[in-house]
Amino acid sequence: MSVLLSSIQRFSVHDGPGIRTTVFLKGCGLHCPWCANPECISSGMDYSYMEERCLRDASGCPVNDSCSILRDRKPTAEDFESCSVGAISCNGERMAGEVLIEQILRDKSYYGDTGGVTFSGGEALLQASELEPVVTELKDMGISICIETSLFAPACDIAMLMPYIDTFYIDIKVLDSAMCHEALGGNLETYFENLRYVMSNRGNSHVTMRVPLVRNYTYSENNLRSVKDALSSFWPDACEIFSVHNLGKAKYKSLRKEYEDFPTLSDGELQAVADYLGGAGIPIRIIRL
Amino acid sequence: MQIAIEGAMGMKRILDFLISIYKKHGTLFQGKLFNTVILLYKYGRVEKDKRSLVRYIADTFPKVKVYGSKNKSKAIQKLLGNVCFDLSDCEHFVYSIDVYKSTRLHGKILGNCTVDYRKVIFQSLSDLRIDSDSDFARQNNLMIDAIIDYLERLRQEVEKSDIANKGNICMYLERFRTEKAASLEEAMQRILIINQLQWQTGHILVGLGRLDLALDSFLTPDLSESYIEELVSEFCLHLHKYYYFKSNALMGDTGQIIILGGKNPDGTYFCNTLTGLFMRVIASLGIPDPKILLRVSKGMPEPLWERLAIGMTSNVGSPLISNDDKVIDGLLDFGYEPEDAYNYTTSACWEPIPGEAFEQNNILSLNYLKPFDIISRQGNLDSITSFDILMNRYFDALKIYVADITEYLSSIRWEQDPLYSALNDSCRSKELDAAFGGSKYNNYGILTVALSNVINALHNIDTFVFQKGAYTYRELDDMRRKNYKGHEIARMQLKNNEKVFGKDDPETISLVNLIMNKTEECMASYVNPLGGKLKFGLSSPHYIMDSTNFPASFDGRLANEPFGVHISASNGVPYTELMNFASQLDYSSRKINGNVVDFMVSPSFVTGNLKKFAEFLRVSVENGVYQMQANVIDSKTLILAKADPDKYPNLIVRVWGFNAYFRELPVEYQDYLIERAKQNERIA
Repeated sequence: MSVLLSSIQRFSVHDGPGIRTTVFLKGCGLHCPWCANPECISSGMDYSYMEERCLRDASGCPVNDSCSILRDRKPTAEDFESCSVGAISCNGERMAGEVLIEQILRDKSYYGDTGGVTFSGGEALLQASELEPVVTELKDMGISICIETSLFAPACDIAMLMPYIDTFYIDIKVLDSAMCHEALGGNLETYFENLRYVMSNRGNSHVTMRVPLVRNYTYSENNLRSVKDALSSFWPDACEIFSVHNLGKAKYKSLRKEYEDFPTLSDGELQAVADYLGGAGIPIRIIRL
Repeated sequence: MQIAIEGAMGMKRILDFLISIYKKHGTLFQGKLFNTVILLYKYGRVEKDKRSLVRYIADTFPKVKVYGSKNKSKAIQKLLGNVCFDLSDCEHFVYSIDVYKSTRLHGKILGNCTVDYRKVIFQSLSDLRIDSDSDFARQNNLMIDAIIDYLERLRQEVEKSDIANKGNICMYLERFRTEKAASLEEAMQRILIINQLQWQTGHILVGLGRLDLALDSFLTPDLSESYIEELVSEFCLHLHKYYYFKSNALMGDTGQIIILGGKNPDGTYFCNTLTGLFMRVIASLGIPDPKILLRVSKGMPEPLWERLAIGMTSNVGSPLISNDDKVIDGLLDFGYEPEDAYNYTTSACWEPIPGEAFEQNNILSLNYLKPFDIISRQGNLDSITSFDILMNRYFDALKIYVADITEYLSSIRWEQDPLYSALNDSCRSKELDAAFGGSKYNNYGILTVALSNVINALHNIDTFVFQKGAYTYRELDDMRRKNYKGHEIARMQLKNNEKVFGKDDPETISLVNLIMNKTEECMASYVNPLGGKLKFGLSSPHYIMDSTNFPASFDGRLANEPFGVHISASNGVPYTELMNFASQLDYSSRKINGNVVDFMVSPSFVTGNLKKFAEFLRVSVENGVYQMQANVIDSKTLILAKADPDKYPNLIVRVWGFNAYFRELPVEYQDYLIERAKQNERIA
């Protein structure tokens, strides 16, 4: 069975405890406007344009006339096939489970007692059945499994992977049903059902909730109140907050997708949120990306 | 204004030309005028104002003196009898070099060396006399007398001064004649004296050796850490004096490396208070000189790994990490005796030198791209129709090239060196100068450059010539020699090949090991005139110097563009992958002459992740990386610092094996660092 992924990032230090390999899986049911991994949203192949590799020089480029980039369109599979200098890359690879395991094991020595593999995305849970044999084998080898999830996924998928997961990073985003549906495309009821399920079946696994702070979406008085309530009700091990960053800007450009710039929060604003959420009695960490 | 700039550029060109002559035939031009030019060249790297340079020449010329004699010790005696003392900034210690006075040279001076300072800490100068009537003994004793007289003159100067610690300093200088050192302060003063004497007598790239070990027995419980820190701080500041004078090829290239820590023969790890303290002091002083090399091993205590990580991220460009578990095994495999292998230091940058050796490890760089030019000149390129044929042609060409190198090596004549010989047990017992083979070991070492370019080139040729058949070898070689003019598509294809040096795929690793082993074969039968062997390593300062005026290569690199730096990766190779790659290279036998992984880390990557960074370093060492160094800096800072140097006067970066102020580097080095930082950020 193969897994559809966008990339594998070795030596990840921001995606869970210790040194990790992060596997970015493709496919997500949401369309968060601030998404930092837009190449992972689609569950099909999409194509990026790498400007620094492009000749641009019309006389030197054999596909000049048909190249969608030079004609200012989104890059396509045809561009990928025909661009002989590799300026168009394909975001998406179906990787056989055993190949993925081999890739993950390359950095095994760096994982130590705390590190391991993190499945991120996209929404990793959407490929639960493809991942199950992979995580089973990794678990047998003593590799710690972490998952970064929005929890907007079918309950059966969560149940399938639940026994293998050592660490959860669960997003808390927009907690207003209408806004969640409209802005993110998510059903908040599903989210809370899944969250209840995870928290009551977590066993020894570690759960950290993550709040991306985005003006006009998650960073509002009402939303933060709901976040605080959720923390008090579900009692995760920790909560991380961070200001949404603009690190994904280049990706939007290369995918020829429209990019919305979100102003970042100041240190003072972040601290104020941390202080407020701290009232829930959960350790709050500010992450600076 | 324009005229002034052109005038300055003209002067720079003339100086560069004179320096190039000096490098090749320096001994022929010894004299007042030429030494003035050398000093002007060095001073001109930190002072750009033309009027100030003219003033410098006018001030300097009358002060420059070159003392000559057929008898080297006699020349040293004349020199030491005439040097003037500079007692500025002295509190606990004195440290003084008269940069205007030197001795005449008749051969290439031994450089890149580290004396074992224990020889002068635990012995007096009188102990270094030799009771014999040989010429070696006479020269040795004459030089010792000259040093004693020099110290007496220095003592009198100190006595007249208002240095706070002058009573003790005078006592130390006097005791040096007949007594061994009795305290930490006295021992450190002796190290400074012997260090300044090396610089004064014309040595370059003078190492400091294993200072924590050398001073270990003086760390008595009565000494407070704050007192030791005070001594260490002043000690380092003294070594930083005369920075422009000591800098060799580039500003900051001084070779003043302090070696810390180290694996003991019983497998335990040696460190003491000074190990961490030197790292902390260098980081807090924020100066690029002296530099630190930390010998690490599996047994190194946990806190020292964290200290190391802090040091590497403190923006002073060091420590460089040397993995004893690999280096010592390699030295033993080469044939050094265990007591020397375990007591290794390094040449100016990274080349390991076992104890009791004044080996010349950095004589020149082998450029791995040159064999491709030899193949071109040999012609018959249409016969290169398979990868095996290509590799055979490459290795034949490499053999020719190495033969040229060894012929040159055999022609070198070294300058007689009574000072180094006096501090070497083997020279003393053989009564033979180090320059004539008196040391216990007399091997030569060379460096290599552009292996990463060659590996990428070979992958490209394999892909586009032999697998895809897009070009013939001859066609690709033509394009390369024309600097890809009109062949931009081919160049981009070559540049964008995913198979590159630094990736941990078995094919690439075995190709690197194959070339290293073939290099070893080429030099296996060579014996130098002193009876030593030849060794090499995969790191070289020549990645920019040798790439200038060098044609384009099959990796898509254009003519004059820099070669790859040491063991480093181009676009897109994660740090752990690079380390896994480096861990699987074969560092046995002759392949021991420094193999440094060089990587750039974005500060945001390690901020808040110091423990993970320390763990990464520890595991990399455990996996078998030979040596490594890093610049923890982002491209944005470097770009701003280049645009407005006055705003970043103290920004320090790691260059090839040393640290330097960014603002003082030539623009091509600045640009290359910026480019590499950008590449690194694309990985993250």
